[in-house]
Amino acid sequence: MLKRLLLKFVKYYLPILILSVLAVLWLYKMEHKKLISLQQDELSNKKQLIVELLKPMIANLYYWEQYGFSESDFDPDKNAYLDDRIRDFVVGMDSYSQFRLINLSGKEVYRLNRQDDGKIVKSIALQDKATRDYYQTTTDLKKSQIYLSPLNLNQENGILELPYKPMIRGVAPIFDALGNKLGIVVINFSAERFLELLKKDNHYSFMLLDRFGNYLVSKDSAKEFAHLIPNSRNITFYEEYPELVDSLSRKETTSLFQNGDLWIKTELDFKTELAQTPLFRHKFADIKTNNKWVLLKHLDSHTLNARLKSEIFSIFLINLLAIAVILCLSYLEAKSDTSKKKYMQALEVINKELESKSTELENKNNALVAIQNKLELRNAQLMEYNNIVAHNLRAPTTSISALVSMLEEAKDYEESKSYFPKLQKITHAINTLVDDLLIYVRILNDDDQVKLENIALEPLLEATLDLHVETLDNETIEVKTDLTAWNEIKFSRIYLQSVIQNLISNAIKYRDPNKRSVIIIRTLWEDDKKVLVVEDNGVGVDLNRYGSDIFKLYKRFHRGLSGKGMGLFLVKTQLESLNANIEVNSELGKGTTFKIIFDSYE
Amino acid sequence: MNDLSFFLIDDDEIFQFIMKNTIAEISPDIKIKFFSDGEKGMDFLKQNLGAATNLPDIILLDVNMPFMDGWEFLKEYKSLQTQIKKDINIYLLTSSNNPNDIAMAREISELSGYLVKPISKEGIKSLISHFPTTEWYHNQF
Repeated sequence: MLKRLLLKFVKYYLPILILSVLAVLWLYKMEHKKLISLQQDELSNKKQLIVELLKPMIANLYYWEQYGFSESDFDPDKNAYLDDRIRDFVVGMDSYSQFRLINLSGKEVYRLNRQDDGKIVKSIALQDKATRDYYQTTTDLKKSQIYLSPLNLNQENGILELPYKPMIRGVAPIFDALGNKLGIVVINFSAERFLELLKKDNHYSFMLLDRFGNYLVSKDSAKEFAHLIPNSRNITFYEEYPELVDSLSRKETTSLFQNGDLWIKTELDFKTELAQTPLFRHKFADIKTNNKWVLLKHLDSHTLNARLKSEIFSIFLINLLAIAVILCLSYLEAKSDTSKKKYMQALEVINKELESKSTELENKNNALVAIQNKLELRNAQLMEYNNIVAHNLRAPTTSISALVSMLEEAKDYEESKSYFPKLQKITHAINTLVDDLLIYVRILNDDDQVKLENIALEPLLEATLDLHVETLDNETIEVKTDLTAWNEIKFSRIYLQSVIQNLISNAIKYRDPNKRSVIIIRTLWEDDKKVLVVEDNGVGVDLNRYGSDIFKLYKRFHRGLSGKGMGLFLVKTQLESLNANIEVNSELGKGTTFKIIFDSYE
Repeated sequence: MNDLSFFLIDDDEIFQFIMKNTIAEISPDIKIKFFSDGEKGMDFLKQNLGAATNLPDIILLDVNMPFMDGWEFLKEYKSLQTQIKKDINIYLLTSSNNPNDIAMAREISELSGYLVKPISKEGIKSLISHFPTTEWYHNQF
């Protein structure tokens, strides 16, 4: 039962399970595809945002580069007049946190600071920036060449300004009208707002890395600018995730799964991206920068799964439900199978019973049929008896009454006397008839008391033939016997003797004197029944004429040769009383064949 | 009426004797000829198909006879009838009052009636007095 239940359960549940697994896989795939595409879009937007934020910086730098500063502007003592003109301008440019002019030797010659409250203050303490990298990398800037620094934290006098001020320095060279380089203009573009924008709408971990893998933006703010901050645990992205380096750096834009986490990356090469701005495209200016940023999105497996949680949960629920339903169904089905089996067994038992009953009935039916056959036979015999009495007995009695009335009217004794022989003849006929009828009736009545015994056919035949030995010898009638099929039968000896005697005596009586007579007596099997055949080549009977009468009482067919017509009538009656049958086949001038069929005789 | 001619076809010699006496008593002019079975009667008919004077007015035909019984005789008679130059009335004779036999007899158009033995003098007289008739004759019911 349990095994059957399990089998049924597996049969029904397996397809659902497979479908569920496929559905989950498909969901994952579609979700990831969607996610990747969405995140890539977002990265691309962020990239675009960066580019858009960089463009005004470049435009501003170009503006100052083209401003037309003179040599005196690089002399701190003479450039005070710039204040009115530049300060007003810088006030409006809220991304400017500093505006400086630095001479060729690296010293600041003019400096405006934006205070935290937004006010623009001219700084009197001018610093020497000759040692700073941004100065050194920009000394060789040619005309119209603009430089963008990496994203840095602001330093004042070599010390990081607190709170940290992320910014990008833009540098443009300043030449006088004659083409002599005067120095550089340095603008510190505050990156605070810029970074703020990048971090906005950031559901998943967004990272901005510089070309070395330093974190510029990270969910973990401690990592941000760690490379610039002394005493901080400085670890680059590439050090943190060495296994990702190869896969991620292969393409500019890519995505990959690593340990269930999804990584989406796009690169931003300032030079390449900014090359499309009109300024550079039309060669008005040139840019110098080695900024190459990496925009990264990191979706950990937990986040990923959380997105699919509800869908997977509903599939799980469906599965649970299916398991419950299928368990119930399987149980019911297994149960019904079991009861079906029991039912079938019960049915089989009933069937067998019915079968035996049917056999019993059949046997009874067969017995009934046998009885009916016997009754029919008996009926026919009674009819026959009736006929005999009606015709054969009535005829002489009516004759007697006629003779008697003639006697009464006889004129004299002589006449009366002439009637006596007739009366005698009638009484003799009546006696014979009554004797014959008695024989007949005895056979009809005796049939159950007749003694059945095993009879050897051969001695019986011999004894019968011996009775006719004279005729047989004188007339040289050849008698052939063939008892190879069977030679013994359980039957009434008296009846069999009488039957054989009658048939043989008929065969002798109705032999054809113009032929060499042959009588053949043989046994055979037909339809599992014993058959005895007595065949002669005598005168034969026209069965078309007499067929139905040949076994009837007092029927005679051969003028001159006839007996009294009792023999075949007796033969048939005796055989039928013991369930045997006789058939005849005869042709005038050719002979007669009698066939005795013993129904179910051993 | 008295020059009627009878054939009696019956194997019963006693009945022949009785009929002979009975008819002789009715009228010595009535001729009666005897045949002891159907075959003999048929043979005679066949030999005298054209000789109307040799043919009877009435045949009394027994049912139960050897060699050719009454039924068989009637069958053969039917095939001969067109060649017979005389109207012959045939009455079937039987010692049984078996309804089956009577029914069978009524089906045969060649038959004029059915006589059950014994047949008395009055019976023969009655038969003769009804002759010739197209009605079915039956001496007992």
